[in-house]
Amino acid sequence: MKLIPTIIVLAFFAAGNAVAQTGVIKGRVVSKTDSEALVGVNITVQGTLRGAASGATGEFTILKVPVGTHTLVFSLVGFNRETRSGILVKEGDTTTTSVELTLAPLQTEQVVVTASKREQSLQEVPVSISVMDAKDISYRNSTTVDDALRYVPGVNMTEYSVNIRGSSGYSRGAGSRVLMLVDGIPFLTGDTGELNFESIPVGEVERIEVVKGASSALYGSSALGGVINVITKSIGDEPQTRLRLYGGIYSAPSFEEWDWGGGDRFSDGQSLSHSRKFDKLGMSLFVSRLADDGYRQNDFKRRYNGFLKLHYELSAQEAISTTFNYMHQRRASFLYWKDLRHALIPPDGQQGDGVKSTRFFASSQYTNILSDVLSYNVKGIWFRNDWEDTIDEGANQSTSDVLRAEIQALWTPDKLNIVTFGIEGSYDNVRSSLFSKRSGAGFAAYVQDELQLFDDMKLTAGARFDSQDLDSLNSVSQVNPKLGVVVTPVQGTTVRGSIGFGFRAPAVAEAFTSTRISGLIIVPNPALKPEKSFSAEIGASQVLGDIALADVALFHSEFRDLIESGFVASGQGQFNNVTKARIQGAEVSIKSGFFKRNLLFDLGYTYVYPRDVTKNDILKYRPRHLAYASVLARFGFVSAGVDYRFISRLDRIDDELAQIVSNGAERGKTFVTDFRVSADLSHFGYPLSATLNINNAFQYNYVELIGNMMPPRSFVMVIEARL
Amino acid sequence: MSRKYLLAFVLLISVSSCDEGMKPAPFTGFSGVIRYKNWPPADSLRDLRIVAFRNFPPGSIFEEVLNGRAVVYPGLLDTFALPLFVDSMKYEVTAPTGQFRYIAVAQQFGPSLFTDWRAVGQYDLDTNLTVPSPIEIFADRQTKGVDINVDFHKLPPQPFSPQP
Repeated sequence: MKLIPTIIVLAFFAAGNAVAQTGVIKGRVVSKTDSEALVGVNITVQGTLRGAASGATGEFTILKVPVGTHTLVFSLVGFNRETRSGILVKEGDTTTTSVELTLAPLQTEQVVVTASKREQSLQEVPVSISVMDAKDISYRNSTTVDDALRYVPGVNMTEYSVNIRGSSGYSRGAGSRVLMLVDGIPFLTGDTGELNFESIPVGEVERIEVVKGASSALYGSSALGGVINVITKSIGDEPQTRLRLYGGIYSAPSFEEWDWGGGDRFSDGQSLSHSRKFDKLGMSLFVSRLADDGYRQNDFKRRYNGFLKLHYELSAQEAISTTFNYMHQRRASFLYWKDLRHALIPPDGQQGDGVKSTRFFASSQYTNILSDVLSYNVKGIWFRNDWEDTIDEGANQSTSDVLRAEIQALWTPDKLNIVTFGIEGSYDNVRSSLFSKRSGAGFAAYVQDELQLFDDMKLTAGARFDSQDLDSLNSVSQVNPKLGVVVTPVQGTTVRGSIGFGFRAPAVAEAFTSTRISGLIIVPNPALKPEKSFSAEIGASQVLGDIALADVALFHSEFRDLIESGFVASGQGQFNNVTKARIQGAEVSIKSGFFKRNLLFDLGYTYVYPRDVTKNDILKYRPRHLAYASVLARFGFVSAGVDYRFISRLDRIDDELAQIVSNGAERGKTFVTDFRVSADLSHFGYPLSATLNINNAFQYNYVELIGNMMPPRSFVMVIEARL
Repeated sequence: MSRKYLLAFVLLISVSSCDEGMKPAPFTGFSGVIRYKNWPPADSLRDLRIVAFRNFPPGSIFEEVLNGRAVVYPGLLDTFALPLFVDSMKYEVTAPTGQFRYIAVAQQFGPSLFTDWRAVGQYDLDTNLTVPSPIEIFADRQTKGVDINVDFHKLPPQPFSPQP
């Protein structure tokens, strides 16, 4: 618990010897196409932590830049990254520079940070990555990150379980084969090991990066299916306040039989954020409230989120960032329907079931750029998850604490190599009526080198050693190597390939759950072993005449000791290492933009062949076909868009559970179409925007999970004000 | 090129919008509303069930159910029963096809599951309470509007054998 204050104190001591001569860099950024001012351009002084974002007139100011000659890097989504070298800063002087950015052929110059734990262009990365930015999230009024992920090619959601290219099925909230990070920091609960979607302040998200395929070589356990990194907004130089209000209503059920007499069902939410800088201190505060009646009986939720980010610049080379995140939620629990004729009400005995949870997360990160070739950061994290339910026979309760610390360094020994290395330690403590008292600890060390082998070829090689000790389970150690290559034979063409090993230690909930839920008895399995995987991918991307970017990937994964829930001979439920699996597939995506990007098309298709090699059958809860399409058109201050997604019928589900749930085997294909239209009144001088979303516009009735009908059509109106 | 994309997109959405996805499972049975009046004290109530009999007058509920001549909801061995002390409730009962001549709300008034039953309400379209109204059940169809009034101060004729 004393980790974070210690880091803060260390950082302030480090600041004591950081007094230097400085000057100021000012300038303006415009579009080369039409000379219009560009807002929100990220400008950084290379080799330092100094930087700024351009304001409404395209102007920027970077204060306290060390005296000397510098290189500025300008980046903005949709534009080519630009560098301006030879910027001379003299003591007390102001240096002025202006830059024109050119429209990039779509996302070719998108900067990502997840693949190698450092900033790099999307085209330098040897694995498949999809990026969603804040606009994508805001347009769709996604209230949680899992809502937003439903539009990412190759990603499929089964309730809250994320499945990237067939890696995961449905885990009942226990364990995850996808690691979720917030600003690079793991965000999994300590007891259930599930992705903590509800705590993420969606209004503060700058972008979401989804790495597809094994990433355990840098990130360790849980990353064998992929990584989702949620990047929060950086604090701008100018004060900014945003107010966001929304209200929605669900359409009546499609059939009279499904009308359970709930009347009109509403949802609403409010969020307020403010960010500003006080000299060296930047702060960003976000609070939000969400209330959702739910479209089913016993399915409401009420949620409150708070998020505070503090960033203190100790010097041009040193900074410390601290975040606090709080979430309180009360929700009813809808496990499954009564039957298909009563698809929106739970079985008679499950009325009134619910869960109350409180989550608190604090992290602190100290960054120091020691020289042009070496920098490091130190992170400390505390994550508490506290919940209690009123499901079935008596209340369950669980409290877990996770402590983590990491030291990561970036070393550039010469112009050809970039080396990332670090060590990590973690400690989990769980007190629970479901899992009893459990504790675990982990240690890891990793190193990765990115070698510019030739002008047009970059090699990435790395490995990570993990040692995990979870209560009474056998201790495990594992080394996961990784190799990747990126070749750029001609401008606009990139060919990539990667192979890597992954592993996942069982979560406390998978090994030690002991409970009875709605007649199902779940028993612990103290003999559970970690899952292991091998993944390979080859892919290529091609710019098509500056209007389109096509990407194709072939992937292959082998899994051993896959942990899946099921029923043992006694009829009791248990998590077991049951499966040897092989998942193969292909993915194609095309992004295109016409009329100066005022008309955008995105298409994505993923084919997955997920085989249970042990049983010679298809793996459970993995659809074989996923297709996404979206179009967005802008006409002056109005924009309109359509999102469409298709998910093929699940070949296999839990056969045993389908027997218990009435009509549990009923399922089909998924065709969902969402419409949205938005007006941006800032064109008329009012800092307001209004968006109408019509989700599931054709009221398609489908299930993702046994006995769980997904939402019908809903209308949601969003008003956003920027002050 | 953008027109081709747009056309393909519109076609895609048009095709998929023709289908509405999953539907309620086919249902064969009857449904309606039960309206209650003058609830007795809680200690004199044990259980309430809806019973549909093929014949009128019926024998005992147990005998009729065991011989396939009656349908009871909730099932006689179900721990869940109809809610008590409500003004009204909607119900749905799955039943085989054919005619049912007597639909009643039955109350278990004593400890014996086999004998201690009486009718507290019946489906009747006219005022002649001595002859209840029959219903017809068709395959994959729901016979609606089988409404029953229950007034605990004014019970209908008691057809069960043996009588309480």
